[in-house]
Amino acid sequence: MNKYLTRKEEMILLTVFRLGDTAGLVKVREKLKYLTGHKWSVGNVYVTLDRLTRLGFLQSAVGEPSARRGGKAVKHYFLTAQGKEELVELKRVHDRLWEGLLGLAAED
Amino acid sequence: MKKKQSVSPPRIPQWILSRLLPRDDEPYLRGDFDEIYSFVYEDKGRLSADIWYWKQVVVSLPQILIHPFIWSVIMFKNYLKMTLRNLKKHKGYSFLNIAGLSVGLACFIMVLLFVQYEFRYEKHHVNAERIYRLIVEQNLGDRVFRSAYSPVPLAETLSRDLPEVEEFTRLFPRGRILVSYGDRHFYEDGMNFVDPGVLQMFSFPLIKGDPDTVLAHKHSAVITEEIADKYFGREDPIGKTLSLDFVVSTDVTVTGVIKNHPRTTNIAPDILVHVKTIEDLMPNSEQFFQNWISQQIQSYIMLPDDHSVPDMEQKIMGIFSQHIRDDDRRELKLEQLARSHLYSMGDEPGLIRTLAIFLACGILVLVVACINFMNLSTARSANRAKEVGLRKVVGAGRRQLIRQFMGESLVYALISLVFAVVLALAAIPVLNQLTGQFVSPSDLGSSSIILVLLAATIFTGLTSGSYPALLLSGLQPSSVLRGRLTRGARGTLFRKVLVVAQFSISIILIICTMVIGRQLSFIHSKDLGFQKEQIVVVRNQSGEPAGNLEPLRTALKQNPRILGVAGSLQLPSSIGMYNNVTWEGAKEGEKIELIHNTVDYDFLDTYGIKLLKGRNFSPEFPSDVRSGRDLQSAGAVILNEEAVRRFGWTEPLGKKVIQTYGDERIIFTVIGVINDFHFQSLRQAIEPMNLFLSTEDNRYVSIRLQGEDIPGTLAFIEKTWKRLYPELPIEHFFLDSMLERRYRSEERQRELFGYLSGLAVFIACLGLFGLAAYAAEKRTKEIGIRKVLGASTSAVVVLLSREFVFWVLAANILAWPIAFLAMDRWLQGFAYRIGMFSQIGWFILAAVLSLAIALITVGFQAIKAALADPIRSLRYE
Repeated sequence: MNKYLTRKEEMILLTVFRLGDTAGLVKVREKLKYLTGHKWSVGNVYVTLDRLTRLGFLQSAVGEPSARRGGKAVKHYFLTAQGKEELVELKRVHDRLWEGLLGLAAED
Repeated sequence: MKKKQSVSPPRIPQWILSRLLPRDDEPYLRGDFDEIYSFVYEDKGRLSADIWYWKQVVVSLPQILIHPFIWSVIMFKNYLKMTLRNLKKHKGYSFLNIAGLSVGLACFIMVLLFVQYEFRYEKHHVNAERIYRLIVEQNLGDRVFRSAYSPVPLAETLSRDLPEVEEFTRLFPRGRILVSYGDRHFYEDGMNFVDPGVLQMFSFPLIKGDPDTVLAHKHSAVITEEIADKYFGREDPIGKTLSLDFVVSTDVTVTGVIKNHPRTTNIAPDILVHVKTIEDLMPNSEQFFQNWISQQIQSYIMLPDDHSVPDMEQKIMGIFSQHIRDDDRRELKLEQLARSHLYSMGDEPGLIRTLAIFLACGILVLVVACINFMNLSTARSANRAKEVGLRKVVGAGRRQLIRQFMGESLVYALISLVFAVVLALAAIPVLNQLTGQFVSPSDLGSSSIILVLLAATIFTGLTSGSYPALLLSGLQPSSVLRGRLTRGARGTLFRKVLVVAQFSISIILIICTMVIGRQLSFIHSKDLGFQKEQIVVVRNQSGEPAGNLEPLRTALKQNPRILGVAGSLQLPSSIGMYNNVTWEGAKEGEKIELIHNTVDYDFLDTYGIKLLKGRNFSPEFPSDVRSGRDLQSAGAVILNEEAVRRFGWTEPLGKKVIQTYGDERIIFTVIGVINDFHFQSLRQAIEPMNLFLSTEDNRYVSIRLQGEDIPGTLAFIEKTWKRLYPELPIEHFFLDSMLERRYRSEERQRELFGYLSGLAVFIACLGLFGLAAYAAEKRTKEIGIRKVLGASTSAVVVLLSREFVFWVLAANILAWPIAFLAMDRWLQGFAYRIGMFSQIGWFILAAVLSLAIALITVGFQAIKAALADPIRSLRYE
């Protein structure tokens, strides 16, 4: 059986998707903060990105080093085909599951 | 772009991160950290940025570190499979490994059980942290006396005058008394006079009786279930009357029954009687209850949760000093009940040091077992080298390999743990016999033991796996797979060091066992200066013979096998009462403490104590008898040589010895001097002593037998006693058996060291066996060629054993000075001891012994290798 992603993984996968192909860890973290309103620790983001990579949803490519990074290269993450499929599937499942909730809230 | 060059994170966390981040992603991650750092730096300045960076080390690092570990669970399945396969494939090695670790761990478990047992003392009392015993400390210049016994009115006064004292009780143990109910008579040791507060303070759960009124009145008593059973059987004990026989006998009414005490307590009164009952027992009880000088009872007080001990001690001293004379230099200290067993301040020293030694021994054996494991795994590395090479070729990183080998040794450690628990359970009876404890198998289930044990097992697994893991993971696959395994000289040296260390530990333990044994047999065979064999002692707390021994003596003397009958206040072997004494010719205010005993006319003869000067007590001199009537000549005294020496007299006979009680001076005349006999344990030097004459203080009746037909004579004594005192149970023992008991702790120490050295030798041998097998296997071809060229079997055996003999000798040389110093220190604890230099023979014996053991272990392998057919070993090439 296919295991579903955790919410954290889902959020990060979506963030990477939104960022297109310039998603370095720092960018992902900033975007997440912007989108969720919470601070995310570097470790938290890294661990999730790494896991998603190992599961085959993400792929990584080494970018250019910069002075701001102490001369170290950046690692960019982007979605694989499998990752995209997973997101589409997730969205479908979610829509089905959430269906009608907002209407219910409006009735109150 | 502003000042981008100067922005660099603090160095220490950078270094930490660079060492610990996963290697593949380390540069990117650090780049990420640096980038964010520089943003924070620009926004909020250096300090916030530094704090942020440090925070990441704490917050992010653990997650990043744990993450791959969880991920590798899948890989772990493969490792586990490999481990189990290896285990099955090399049954011999696996057995040695697991046996060694199991024994080491089992030993550790035993020590844990022992230590835990001692730590449980008094912990069942809910208020153990708040209950304090009052300790009287008296500084006598050259030494400090501490006593758990304090003045009678102390606790009550404190509870009246200090609001902090929530509750108090006194415990007044009356020693052995005769208790009767109907026709049931028994001697009881656990009778205590108590205050009603005792049940509120101590957790003595009441199972029968009304908690508010049980000890409300004089003559009311609470007993344990055991006592209830003993006297009343199935009858309901409440309301029944027990008769207690002191000098005067009295009746008490049972008002409550408490649960039996657990074994882990030093406070176990089993008949608790209201303290005011004493008023009806003593003619001058008012004086007893108001006496601030003599220390006869134990005082306990209970303080609130938020008390401060030094403050309380000060307040208590303030009150105490109002009641004592100005020149009284006694001080009061508080001893917490929870700490009283391990850190006792009272008469017996605390146990904590012994426990530390035991724990150290347990850890030592565990370390030896770990060393053994490392040793065997390292020796085996050649067999595993190919596997490592292949794993590396297919892409295993060094970290993965380290993890694999660590995991493997962890599995071994866990399997050993299972065996160790089984072994320990089987050995618990031995432990109990050794320590006198009552450990039950269920004690192993306590959460703290399980935690410590798991931690120890994991630690054992990781440390013993670390060396082979690091060694094997560093192998170069190219050279390994080409079959050119170059074993570094470092590895061999390391293994030699390990074997030497193991054997040194074993040898130290062997020598300790032997020296302790020698000292003990020295103690047992030492002439104590009095007859200790064939003396039967009858204890006799109350009743007629205590006051008048004549009828019994006359009756017993009828039997020709009974050589002497003497009465005394204390036995010559356990005198422990001190008097403050000054003497004729002493300087003003000069006082010493003299050991004191009261004996009758036959005492010296019965015990064969030599009179060096003067005469024994004699009925011809009625003035010999100690009496309180005339303080100026209160009776005769016999001194030992040490006392004469301390007084500085050359001609002691006729001189005066003056006992002092506060202002009172009681004067005695010296009539004789006896030899310095050893009345105390040989740990102490002989102290000055004085003997007084009394025929009415015969708490102990010593009967000297001829040595033939001892059972018959004993039966005669019992029969005579029964005839004369039908209502008194008789209780007798042999003096020498009591003397033996005095050195029980040393006896146990020796047994313990015996067991430990056996274990250490066993583990060291396992290691040596494995190594020898390995050496023989490595040199199979060499041996084959040597044999083909004409080497004899014995030459091959010598070749293989030579190296090991050298190691064991080195271990001996290392162990000797350590053992020497350790035992020398141990012997310092005895005033009378064997000389360490006379024990060199045992060192040599230990060396021979260890060499023999090593040779047998190695020789087995060597002979097997030497006898093997050379064709087999050479053929496959």
